[in-house]
Amino acid sequence: MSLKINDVTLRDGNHAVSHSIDLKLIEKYCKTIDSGGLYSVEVGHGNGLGASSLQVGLCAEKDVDMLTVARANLKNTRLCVHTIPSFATINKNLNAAIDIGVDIFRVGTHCTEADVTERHINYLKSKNKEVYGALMMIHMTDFDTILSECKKIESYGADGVVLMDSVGYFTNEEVSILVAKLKEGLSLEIGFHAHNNLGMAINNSMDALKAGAGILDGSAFGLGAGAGNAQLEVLLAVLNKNGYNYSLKPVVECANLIRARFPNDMPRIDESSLFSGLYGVFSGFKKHVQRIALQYDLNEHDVWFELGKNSVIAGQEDLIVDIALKLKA
Amino acid sequence: MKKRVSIIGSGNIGSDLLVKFMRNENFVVHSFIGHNENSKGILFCKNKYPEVTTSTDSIEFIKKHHDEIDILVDCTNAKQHIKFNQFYKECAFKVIDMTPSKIGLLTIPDLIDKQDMHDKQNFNLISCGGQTSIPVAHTLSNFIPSIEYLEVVSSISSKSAGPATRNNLDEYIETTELGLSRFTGLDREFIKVILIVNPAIPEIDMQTSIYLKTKSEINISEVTKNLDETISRVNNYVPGYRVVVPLTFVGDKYIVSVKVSGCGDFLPSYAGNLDIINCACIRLAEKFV
Repeated sequence: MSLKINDVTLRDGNHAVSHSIDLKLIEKYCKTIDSGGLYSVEVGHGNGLGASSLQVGLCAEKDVDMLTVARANLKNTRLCVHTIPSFATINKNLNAAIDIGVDIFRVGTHCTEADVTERHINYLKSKNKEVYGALMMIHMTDFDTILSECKKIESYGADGVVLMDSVGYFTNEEVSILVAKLKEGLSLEIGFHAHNNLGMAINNSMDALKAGAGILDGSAFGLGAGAGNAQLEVLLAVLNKNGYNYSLKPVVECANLIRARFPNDMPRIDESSLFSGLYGVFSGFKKHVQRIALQYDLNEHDVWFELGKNSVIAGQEDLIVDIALKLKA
Repeated sequence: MKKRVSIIGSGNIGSDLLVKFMRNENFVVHSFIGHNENSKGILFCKNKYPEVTTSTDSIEFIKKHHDEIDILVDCTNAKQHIKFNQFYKECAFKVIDMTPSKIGLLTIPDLIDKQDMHDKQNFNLISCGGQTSIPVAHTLSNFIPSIEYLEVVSSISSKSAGPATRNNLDEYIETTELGLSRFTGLDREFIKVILIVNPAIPEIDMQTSIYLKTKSEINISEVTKNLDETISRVNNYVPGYRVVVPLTFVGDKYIVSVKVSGCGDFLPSYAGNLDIINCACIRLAEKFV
């Protein structure tokens, strides 16, 4: 029952706290989680390497500082980064992360655009890194397309592919059917990254596992974009009921660290998260939508609805202002 | 006298430029050059413009006919352009480089220096995001004394992003950042460029947002007036170029967004990203007339 748990608190969690996770917290968190028996810890800006920007949000800390501190405090657990081509480049970002000693790279892209990852995956494999393709917003296309995009990632030499349900859109048996289909069509390892916008994060993660996923993502107290991710301590407890043997103490301690540091940002399924999930709009937009709806005196629901109607994808935060102005007109 | 133009590279960009040059009375298309007899572009040219000489001898054709050409437009790729330029350097014609090779002068047609136009031979058109954002960024930098940080985010339709674009995102970002730095005077360190490829159907038009951070007090109506002038100047050569979000303060930053729909010549109208760099090419070529 080999299962890799990837803790995304210090990366996806940054979406929930406007990218304000500081070096002190990273140090303490990594020290604590290192004895938790997890496979890897992901660190960085919410959109990964090089993504600190006015578009998505400026990060309180520099990538290199976050990764250096994490590296120094992880002995047993691997250090992982998320990276999206066009936010990150080889020269500006990947080389620095390689030099610091990052173990795992997840090269992310919108679910239908896998070919933009080829160059970075090739490069990272040539540096002997563990590399995954990460397909984001997987609810925005059909399962046949996901399979063919995964096959591209396989052909680039990646070690696996991570399916990111970036808005927590999936319900019922969809996750089981998708993972089973990919298991059949690929020899790649499959990971599943859940969000809880419709309250399905733990369920969907367990369904993915049962259908053959070998990697599951979670975050302490669920801290992550939208309504957060699969709550890590809960996920481990449920796994333990299913025959696994994770130690809960370190992750519970980490969850307490997070709650003490961000008491006002604890994940919950509020109006914004619910409509993000329902209309399939990137969870990471939540803070932006709330701020802009307030500035223009608009109903958050209406902004989410229009964003969904316009098939906006991750990285298009600038369209929130555009849509707000149109709604106001 | 009409300028004699040769286009090398018979892909989408080259074919669209062929249409644009053919209907412009300042030019005569001397030749349309590829390397594959059955390429879509070569067949398109033979069929639509039988009067235009086509060749699949690539650079060898240019070597034979270089003294019959006034303007050579290179739509091959950065690697080939660098190689071909060894020969171009020996020729009298002007070179407009559509690839991200960066070996020529980084050029925005409306911001070009007269002296440079005379002295230089090789002109590089930066990138689609560069042609879209730099006129705006340049105007902002003229009217806002201390810009601390500048960011440009473009979304383009997935269908308009061919294999070369997808495989060269790093070069796109580096070249566009360099172009923004050259035309705003801001250090590269304080400039960031992002490109998003969106697969939505119906296809989205290219949209580019320019963000900036400054501690200066901005007179929004004055800057907007100047931006409007810039936009209408670009609009003269890019018909589908327009503002969708006027200069607006949001939270801790300013944002301006522009949209580009294409002319729908050889490429569909959603490919505004390809259209704007081609319109820039024509505009620059007109300056050589």
